[in-house]
Amino acid sequence: MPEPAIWPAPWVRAALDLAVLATLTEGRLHGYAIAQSLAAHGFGLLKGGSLYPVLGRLEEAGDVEASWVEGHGGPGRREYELTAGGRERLERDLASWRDLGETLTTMGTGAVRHG
Amino acid sequence: MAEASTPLAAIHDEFGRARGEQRDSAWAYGVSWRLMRRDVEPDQVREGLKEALALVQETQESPEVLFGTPDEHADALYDAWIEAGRLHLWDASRLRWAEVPAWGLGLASFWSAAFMVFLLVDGRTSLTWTIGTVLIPVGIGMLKAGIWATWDTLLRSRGTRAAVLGSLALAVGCSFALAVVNEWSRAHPIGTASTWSYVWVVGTCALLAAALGRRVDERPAPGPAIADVDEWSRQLAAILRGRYSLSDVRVARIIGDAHAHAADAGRTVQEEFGTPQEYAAGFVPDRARRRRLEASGWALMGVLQGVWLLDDFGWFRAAVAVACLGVAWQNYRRD
Repeated sequence: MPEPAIWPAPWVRAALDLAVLATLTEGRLHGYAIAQSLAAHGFGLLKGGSLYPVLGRLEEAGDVEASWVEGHGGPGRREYELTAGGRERLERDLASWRDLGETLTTMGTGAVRHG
Repeated sequence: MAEASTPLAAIHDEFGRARGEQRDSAWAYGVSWRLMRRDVEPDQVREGLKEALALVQETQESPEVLFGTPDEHADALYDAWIEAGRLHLWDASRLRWAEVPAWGLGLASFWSAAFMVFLLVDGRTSLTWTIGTVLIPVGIGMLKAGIWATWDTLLRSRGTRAAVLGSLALAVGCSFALAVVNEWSRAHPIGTASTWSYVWVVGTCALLAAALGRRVDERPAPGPAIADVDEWSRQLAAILRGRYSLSDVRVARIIGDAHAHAADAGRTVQEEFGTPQEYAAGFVPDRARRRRLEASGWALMGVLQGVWLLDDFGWFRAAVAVACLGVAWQNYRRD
C-alpha cells in the first residue's frame, strides 16, 4: 500500500509544479521515476493522471525538456530534463515559498515583519 | 412566468430572483455564454454559477461587486478548473454522420434563401429553372454539413492531416460533381417561373431539417465501452484531438507516456489514469491552435471565392469572400 502524502492534498497540489522541477535537479528522469521520487519525499505516490498533465504544462512552458528513450524489453519512454529556464524558475519560486513560510511563521508568533 | 427550458436557464432565472434584479440574470447569462463558447460542459457551468448564486443570496450584494464582470468570473472559474485538473469539456461542436441530413438541409434552407434574396436584389424576378438552380444551394448546404462531419470524424480517429486531406477531397470532389450537373442541366431547362419559387425550396428544406433533427435527437447516444488498452487509447486520443484541440504529436506523446507509466507501475492504464474523460480533464485545451485551424478554414473559403471572382465577377460572391475573410480574421484575433 503506498504511503499517503504527509501534507494536506491542497498543499501538495499547490506545490506540485515546483516539486516536480525539484526532482529533476539531479538529472533526467522518466515519469514513473519522478512519481517515486515525489513519494520518497513525502508527496505520496501520485497516479499518472495527476503527474503527466503537470509535466505537460511544464514542457509547454519550456521549464522541462523531454526526449524519447528506447525501452529494453519493455515500452520506450520519455525522459524529462530541467532546462535553464526551469532551473531559474525553481530558484525564483523556492525563494518565494521560503518568504511565504517566513511570513506565516512571523504572523503565527504575533511578531510584526518589516520589509 | 414561463418555465425555464433547461437547468442552466433555470439558474439564470434564480439569479434574477435572488435580489429581484434582472441584470443579475443577465450577468449569469454572460458567464454561461463565455464558458459555453469554450465548450465547458453545461453541468459544470451550472455548478460554477450555483456557488456564485449562494453567495449572492447570502450577502444580497450584486454578482458584479462580488465576482467582477461576467468575463472576469468566467475566466476565473475556467482557470480554477484547469488548476484543479477538472475542466470538463463536451462535444458542443461535434457533428455525427446521423446528424448530417438534418444540418445539411438546415444549411440548404439558408443558402436557398440567400440565393433568392441575391437574385431579387439583382432585379431578376423571373428565372429559367433547371435541376441546377435547385441543386446548387441545396448541394452547398449538404456539402458543408458533410465536410464538417468528415473533418470531425477524421480528426478524432486519424488526426489533423487526415482530416485536412479528407475534407479537401470531399469539397473538391463534390464541388466538381455539382458543377458538372449544373452545366448539364442548363441544356435541359424545366421552365420559367418566379424567383420567389425559391420559397418552396426554403420551406421544404426547413421542414425536412426540423423533422430529421427531431428524429436524431430522440436517438440515445451510444455509451463508450472500454474493452482493452487500445480502446482506452483510441478514446483518449479522440477526446484530446476533438475537444481539447491538441496536436497529433502531443496526443501521441501523452498516450506513449501513459503506456510506459502503467507498465512501470504494473497496473492497467485505466487503473492508473482513470477513464479517458477523467484523464483528459487534467489537460489545458489548446484554444490558440483551434482558433488558428478555424481561421485557416474560413480563409481558405474566402480565397476560393476570390479565385472564382477572377473568372466571373459577381457582387454576391464578392460579399461572401469578404465575409469569409472577415470571419477568419476575427477567429484569428479572438480571445
